[in-house]
Amino acid sequence: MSKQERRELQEKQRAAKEVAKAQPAKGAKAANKPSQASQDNQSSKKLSKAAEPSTPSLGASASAKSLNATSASTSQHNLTGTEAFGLRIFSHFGAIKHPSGPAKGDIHPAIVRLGRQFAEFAITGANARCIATLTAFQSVIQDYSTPPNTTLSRHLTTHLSHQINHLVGARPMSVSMANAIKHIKVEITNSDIDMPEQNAKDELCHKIDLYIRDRIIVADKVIRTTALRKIQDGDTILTYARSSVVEKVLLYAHSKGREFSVIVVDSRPMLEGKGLLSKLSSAGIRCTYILLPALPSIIDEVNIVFVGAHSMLSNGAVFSRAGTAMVAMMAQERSIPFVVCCETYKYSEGIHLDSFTKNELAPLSVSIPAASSEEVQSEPNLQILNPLYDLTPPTNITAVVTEVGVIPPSSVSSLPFALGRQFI
Amino acid sequence: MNFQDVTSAPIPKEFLAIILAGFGNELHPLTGNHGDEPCPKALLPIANKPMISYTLTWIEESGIQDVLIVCPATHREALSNYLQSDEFSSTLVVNFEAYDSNDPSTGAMEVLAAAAPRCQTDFVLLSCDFIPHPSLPLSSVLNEFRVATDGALAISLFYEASVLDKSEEVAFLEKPPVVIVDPSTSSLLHVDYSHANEEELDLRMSLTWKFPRTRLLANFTDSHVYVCRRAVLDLIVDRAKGFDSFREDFVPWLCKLQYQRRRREKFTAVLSHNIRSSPSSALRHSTRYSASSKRDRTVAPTSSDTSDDEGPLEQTLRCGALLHRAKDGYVTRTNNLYAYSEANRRVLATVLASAPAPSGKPAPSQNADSLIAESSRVGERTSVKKSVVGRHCTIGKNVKIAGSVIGDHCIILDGAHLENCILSQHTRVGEKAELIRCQTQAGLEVEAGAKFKGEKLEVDSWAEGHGDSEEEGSESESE
Repeated sequence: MSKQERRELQEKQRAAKEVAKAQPAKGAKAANKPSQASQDNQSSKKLSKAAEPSTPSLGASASAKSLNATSASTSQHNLTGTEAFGLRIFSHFGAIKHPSGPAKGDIHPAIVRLGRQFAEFAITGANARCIATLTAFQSVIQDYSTPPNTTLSRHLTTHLSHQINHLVGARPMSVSMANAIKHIKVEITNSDIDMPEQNAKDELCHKIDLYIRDRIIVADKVIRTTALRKIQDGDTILTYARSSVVEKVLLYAHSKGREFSVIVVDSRPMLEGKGLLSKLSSAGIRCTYILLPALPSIIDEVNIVFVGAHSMLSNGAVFSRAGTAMVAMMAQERSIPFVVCCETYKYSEGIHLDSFTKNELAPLSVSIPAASSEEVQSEPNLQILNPLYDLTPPTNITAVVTEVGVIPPSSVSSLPFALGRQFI
Repeated sequence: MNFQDVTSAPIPKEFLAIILAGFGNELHPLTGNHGDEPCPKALLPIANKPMISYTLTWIEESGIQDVLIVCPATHREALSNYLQSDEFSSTLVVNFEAYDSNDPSTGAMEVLAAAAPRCQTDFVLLSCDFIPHPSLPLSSVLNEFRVATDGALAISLFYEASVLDKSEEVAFLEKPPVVIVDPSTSSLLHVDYSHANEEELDLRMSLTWKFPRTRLLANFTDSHVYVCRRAVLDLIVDRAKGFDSFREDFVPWLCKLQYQRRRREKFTAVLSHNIRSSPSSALRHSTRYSASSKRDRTVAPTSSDTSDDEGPLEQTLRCGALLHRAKDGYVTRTNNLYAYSEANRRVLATVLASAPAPSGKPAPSQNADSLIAESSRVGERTSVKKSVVGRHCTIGKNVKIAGSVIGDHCIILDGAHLENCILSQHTRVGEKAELIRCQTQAGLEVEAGAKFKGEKLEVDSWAEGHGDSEEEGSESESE
C-alpha cells in the first residue's frame, strides 16, 4: 500500500474509533448525569412516578416525554448523539439541567423560590446571589425548630445542607455564596448549647445581618471611597458588563462632584451593561455604550478601567464575567491601568490556570430570546454554548481595590493572613 | 410531632390550594338533585372519573399538599365520601369549608371572604371544573409566581378557546372577554366582560402612559386558576361587599392597581402589611435588574447615597398572565354543557390512545373508540360509538349509542337510540326510546317509545304525570 492509501485507512479507522467512543461516551455521560446532582434525577424520577397516577389527565402515555419537550424556559436536555458532540468541549460541566418538577423532600418555600429565581436568572451577580441566599437562610432559620434528641448547633447544619443542595441543583453555587455559607456554618457550630432556641436563632439571624453589612455593604462603601482617589477630573473610565461594586463607585464619584465620562462595554448573551447604562445615565453621567468587538477602536481614549469580580483566586487571577480577560489584555497592552474592585469575602483558596477547568454555561432561555427559541432548539446540528465566566491572569491586572486597601494581585494570597484569620 | 424521628423539622407550607366547588348552574340538569341527594358539579364524571379528581391530581403533581375545598354545605358529604373512597388515593390533605347557602347564585367573593381565616399562606385559587393538559403542569404557573421578583400580586392563566363548531348551543355560550396584556412583562392589564360583543372599548389613560405597548386578545378565556399572594385575601375581604364574582369583578379591579395611582395609594397600606421580606437588597445588587423608574413621570432620582441602600423597592403589584395556546394541548373549563361534552370527547380520545388494550373480552359490536366501565353489561347487537359508559350500567340489545356520556347505574332497555346525550346517574331509558342531544337529570325515567330532541329532561317535569313524547323541556338554555 502506498503512503496515501495507508494514510486514508488510518483516517477511516480513527473516524470509526471516534464514533465508537461517542457511543459509550454518550452512555458514560448518561451515567455521569446522576452523579452531577442527584437532586435532579430524583426529581425526574418523581416526575415519571407522578406520571403513573396521572392517567386521568389528558394524554397519559407520553406525559413524561411531553413534560420534557415543552415550556421554552425550562427544558431538560436529552443527550442524543449530536448533543454529545457539542458538549465535548464543556462536558465536564455536564448538560444544563433544570428540574421543573416539584422540589423533592422538605425544602423551605423561601429556598424553593430562590432556586427558581436562580434557575431563571432573575437574580444574577455574585453579591446579589449571596445576599439573596443569606436572606433566605434567615427565613429558614427562623422557621426551624430543633428536633428532640439533638441540639441546634449540631442539627441545623445538616438541615441547611439539605436546602443548599436544592439551590446547587438549580444553579451552581458562586464563590461568594460558598464563603458566606462556610461562615454561617462556623457560627452555628459555635452557638451556645445552653441558650434557648429562639435566642439562638435570633442571634444567628443577627450574625447573618452583620455579615452582609460588614463584608458587603460597608466593604462596598470603603471600596468606593478608596477608588475615588483613583478617579481624576476629566477621566474616561471603562467598565465591562455590570458590577454592583463598580456601579456604586461610579455613582459615588459622580455625587462627589468628579467630572468623568464612562464607556460601558457589553456583550451577549446577558447584556447586563444595558442596566448599568440606564442607571448611570439617569444619574447624569455621560456614557458611551459599545459592544465588546468595538473595544479596540475606542480603547485609546480610556484612562482607567474598573471591573468587578466573581471571585479572586489565590494566585491573583480574577474570575469574572466572560470577556473581562480580553478587556484586561487590551488595557495591559496599552498600559492603561486595569483596576479590579472586589470585596475580600470573594477570595477563593483555589488556583485555576484557565477558564476551562471551572465554568458555567448559560441556559438556553438566557442565550436565545424566547421568540426564536423553538426553531433553534429543533435544529439537530446546532449547539449553543455560552460560558459565563473567564479567568484574567494576574499579569494583566494593575491593582485590586478591596476594603483593606489597594493591593497588587500578587499579594492577594496574603489577604487571610492580613485579616488575621485562618480563612477568609 | 413525631417523637421517634430525629430528622423531622416542620417546614412551613408554601401554597394552599383553594378549590371552589359550586353548584354548577350552567350544567343543569346534570347537577339537579337525585331525589333528595345533591349531585355536585365536582363529581360529574369525565371519562368515568369525577371532575374534581383531575384538578386534585394536577395539584398533587405540582407538589402542593394542602387543599381547601369550598363547597355548599349540602354537597360536603358527597364530596368527602368520594375523597375517602377507594377510587381516589392521594397524599393531599383536604379540608372542607362549607358555606350555608342554598342560593345557587352566591358569588365566589362572599364565599372566599368567609374562608379567608383558614388560609395563612400564598394560595392557588382553582375551580373544580378545570381540566388540565400534561403540557401545562401547575408547577409552571407556580414557578412564574415564584420567579416574579418585582412583587407580583397574582398570576392568572388564560387559555385559548379552541375552534368551536357553529351549532346553536354554542351561540348561547359566553364570549371570551377582551383581554389586554403587556407582552414584555406578561402582565394582565385589563379584562372586560361587558364589552365582549361590542366594537368599542374604554381604557384609562394611565394604562397607556404606563404601558405604551400592549396586545389585545379576544379569544382567550380565563381558566380561573390564580396563584395569589396572601395579601390578596385581605383585599377580597375588603371588597366582598361590593363584588359578586371573583372572575368578572375582582380580577379586573385587581389589574387596575398597576396603573391607577390613587387606588394604589389607598391599598398599598393593606398590601404591604403582609409582604414577606422581599429580596430588595439582593435585587439592588443584581446585575440583570433594572428598575422601571423610567416610566415614572416624576423627577429624576436624587443622589444615590441615601435612597439606594435602604427601604424596600417599589412593588409593581402586577397581575401576571400566563397564556396557553390551543396548539399546546387542550385545556378547558367544563362549566357549561357544551364544554362538558367536548371535554368528555377529548379525554376519551386521549385515554383510549394511551390504554390500547382494555381488559376483558371486547363486547360484541363495540368499537374501540368508546370507554365502557368493567362493571357494565352491554347486550348483543348493540353499538356503542365514541361514548363513555359508566359503572354498573345495563345496556340492552339492539341499542345504538353514539357520542354520549352515560352515567353510573343507568339502565337502557332494548332498542333505544341515544345520540349526543348526557345521561346522569340512575337514568332509566325505556325500550325503543330516542334521545338526541338531550341531557337528563339523575334518576329520570324515560318512557318506552319516547322521542326527545335537544331537550333538558328533568325529573320534576315527569312528576306532573305527562306521558307525551312531545313534552316540552325545561327552561331555556341561558340562565
